[in-house]
Order: sequence, then C-alpha cells, then structure tokens
Amino acid sequence: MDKEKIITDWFYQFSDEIYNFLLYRIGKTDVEDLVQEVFIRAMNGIENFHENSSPKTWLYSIAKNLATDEIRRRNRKKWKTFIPFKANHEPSSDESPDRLLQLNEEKKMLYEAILSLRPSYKDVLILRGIQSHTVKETAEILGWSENKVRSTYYRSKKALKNRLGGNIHE
Amino acid sequence: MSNDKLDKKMESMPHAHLSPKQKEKMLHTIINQADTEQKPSWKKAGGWLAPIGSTFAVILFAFILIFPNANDGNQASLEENGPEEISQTENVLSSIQLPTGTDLYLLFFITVMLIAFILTVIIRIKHKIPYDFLSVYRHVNKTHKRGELLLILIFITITLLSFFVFSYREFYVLLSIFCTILLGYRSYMEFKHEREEKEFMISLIWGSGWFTLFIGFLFFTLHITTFDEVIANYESVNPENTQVIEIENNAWNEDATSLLDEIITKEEFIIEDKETINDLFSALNTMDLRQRIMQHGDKDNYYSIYFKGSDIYAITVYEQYLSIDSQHYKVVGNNIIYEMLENGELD
Repeated sequence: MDKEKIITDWFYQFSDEIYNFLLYRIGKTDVEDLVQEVFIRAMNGIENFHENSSPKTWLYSIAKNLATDEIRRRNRKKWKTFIPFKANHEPSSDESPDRLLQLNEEKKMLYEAILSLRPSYKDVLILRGIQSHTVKETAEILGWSENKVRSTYYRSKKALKNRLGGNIHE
Repeated sequence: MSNDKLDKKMESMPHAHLSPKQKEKMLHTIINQADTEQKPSWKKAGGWLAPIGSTFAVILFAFILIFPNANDGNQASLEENGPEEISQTENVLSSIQLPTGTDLYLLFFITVMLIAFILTVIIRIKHKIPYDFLSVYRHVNKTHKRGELLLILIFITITLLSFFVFSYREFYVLLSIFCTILLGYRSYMEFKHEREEKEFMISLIWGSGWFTLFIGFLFFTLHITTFDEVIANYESVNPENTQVIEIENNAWNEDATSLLDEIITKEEFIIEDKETINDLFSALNTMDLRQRIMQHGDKDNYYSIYFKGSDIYAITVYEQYLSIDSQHYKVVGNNIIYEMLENGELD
C-alpha cells in the first residue's frame, strides 16, 4: 500500500489519541504542530516499521520521544538571550489545557498534580490511567517490561495520592 | 482515597478532539512536509556564519601574534648594533623554516582547535544537532551545574596555588587539563541525561581536542633538549669559528623613570682567549634545556653573550633560563654558565 495512504489511515484513526496524550503530557494547548511532527516522522521512517507490531504503539512511542524533546526545548528556551531564533515548534500560546478540556475544579487539581510528577510517572499515569491502555501496550510504548509498567504505575499512583493529599472529594 | 477511586477519577478525565477542518489542514501539511524533510536541510547554513567568522577572526589574531613575534626578540637591540648585525639577523631569521617556541605552541593550538571545530560542524550537520546562536549554556540538571562550578573552583585554586606557591608558570598545561576534565564531565552528563539531543558528541570532540592539546603541551614542556641540538642549525657557532665573544651583564632597573632607563649595563667584557672560549662552550654543552615561556619576573639579572662573526645573534643567560635566538629554555639542574659568569670565572 502507498505510504501516504497508510499515514492518512493512521492519522484518522489515532490523531485524536495522540493529540490527547501530548496535551496531557506537555501541559500546553499548542500541540497540533507536534501531532503533525509525529506523523511526519512516521511517514519518513515507515520503512523501519515492522508489520507485525502495532502502529498505535509505534506512533505513541514517537509522540513520547517528541514530547520529551519538546519539554527540554521549551526549558532551554527560557535560557535564550539577546537574539530570538526560529524553532520548529514555537509555542503559540501559554494557555493551559484545563480550559480546552473544560476541567472542573476537582479535575483541574488532579490534572495539575499529574503534571507536577516526574516524567516516567506522568507517562504511565496518562497511558494507563487516563487513556486506559493495557499493560502490554504501555510497556511497548515506553520500551519497558510489563513488570516495570506495573510497579511504576503503582508508585506513580502513590505519589499522586501524596501530592493530592485530602483535596479530592470521595 | 482508594486506588479504585483514583483509577475512576483518571478514567473520567475529559478527552479533547481535533476538528475535521483541523485534521484536513494537518494531514495536508504532513503529506507535503514529509517529502521536503527527507532532503538534507542546508537552509540553516546562515547559523554557521557566526562560528566560521569567529574562527577566521581567531586565525587572523593568531597570525598577528605570530608574525611580529618572530621579529620581536631582536628588534629592541638592532638599533644599537648597526646594519651589519641587522643583515646577519635577517639571514638567521630567513634560515628558520619550522616554527619554534611560542609560535609552535600557537600553531599547534590553532590546528587542533580548527580540526575540532570542523569535526563539530560535520557532526552537527550529519546528526542535525541545532546550533543556538548566542545562547547561554544550559546545564543538564542541578548536579551538572554544581559539578561544573566545583571543577571551576578547583581549577582556580590549583592555578593560584601553583603560581604563587610553587612558581609554576605553564598555565596552559593546567588549562588543557581543566578543559579536558570539564568537557569530559559535560559529555558524560549529556550522554546520561540528554542522549537524544546528541550534544554529548560535540562536547566529546572539544574534550578530545583539549586532551590532544594537553598531550602536546606535556610533550613540549617535558621534552629535554641540549645546547648542541638547539644550535645545530647554526653551523658557525662552535669553538673553532669563534674568535671573539662579547659579554654584557645587564639588570632591570626597578627605579627606572623612562623606558630608556629600564635596563642598566653593569659590566661589559670581551673574551679573546681560546681556552676561555672553549670552557664557555663546554659549559654550555653540558646543560640540559627545556623549552619554556619566560615571565618578566625571571629576567632580573642577565648576561648577553655575542658571538662575533657567527650567524647567531646572541645567547642570553638568566638565572634559570637561557635565551637563544629569542626562544627561551629553562635550564634543567644547575645553570653552570650563569654561576661561572656570576663568580667571574670567565673574566
């Protein structure tokens, strides 16, 4: 099959999921460019994609790596001085996604608590907790063993509970 | 709150959707950009103008430093010695083909730095590592920042101690060790924490460059030569050809009010006795020398030895150093010739 057609199919199937993942992972609303970049990279590297693995987990792993790079790039940007330079993904706004997702006070608190955790905890909470991926899928996306996914998910929930304290109504 | 409740809360988190219009637009961009991204991008070449420009500036600066340097050693005294000596000096200078002393250090430094720079440019283009023009270096994490700060403090302390306590003047050797360690540490931290940024390759190249400089400097500073080897280029400097030797004892005048009073001549004498000339040469031949950069403070009291009729201009004997044709050498062990001159054994 033509690679443009494959990417188009994948785009219509998974773009919303990838968009959501990036939205939660980066904590900013301007992630459309990154969604595009995920599919551009997939299209350029489609020859390396093994037919027997899942395109969804492959796209997610690209998105995860891109998100890591993007967060670093944005942190690095704080250090830039003197001359503004062009970057591939200049943030168009600093609006937080809680408005876009229309989060109520309680969910906003949960969302902010997730964002404050370490990257590996964030990854596993978004993939397992919010997007309900299976342990196997999460392990494939993150490149971890299934046991590591289970233990990290457990620890991240514990850390999340500590972060929330008694702030969430039962 | 129980784990189940937390799971439910997370599952109930809302999901955003891209509108069909947005999707159409994005898909169009993806199909178009995927084609263009496959070709290597040379558009960012403009960003390279800054480092290339700075390299040329460094080379130019080095040339300005090197060329006047080649003449400096003799310029000051030429006026006193008339056209004969000037032409002799010019002959000597034209016979020197390879850079020596400070020039060699500079040439070695520039060559290594230039190779390292070219390598970094190639690596950056090959691995598409962005170059941030005029950006401040951002450390990988706080540990990295503290580690580098600690290294800088250690370097400053060691340099000050070595200079003031142990009178160690070879600052560039310490600098090359420091830069090797700093860049090695930086590349390790970048490799460990920001591997996908590939910046560690750049730090590794610069680190290797400084390590090469360190090895080179070590070779230059530890390499022992002899008087015989140094004067091998000047065939006429030997006891047979030398008929007259003129010796001038000079000292720096600490109370000088003008440039002309800076050096005072304490004593002047001429040696014509063949036996004394032979003694002087045999004393010079027994000395082991190491090429060094001389500081102003090492020049308190010195003797200038002029070999009349030879193609070498002068040898200057300092307490710990020997200067031959404007290159400086530190004497390993006792400076026999200085002691002989101080004790009046050659008068």
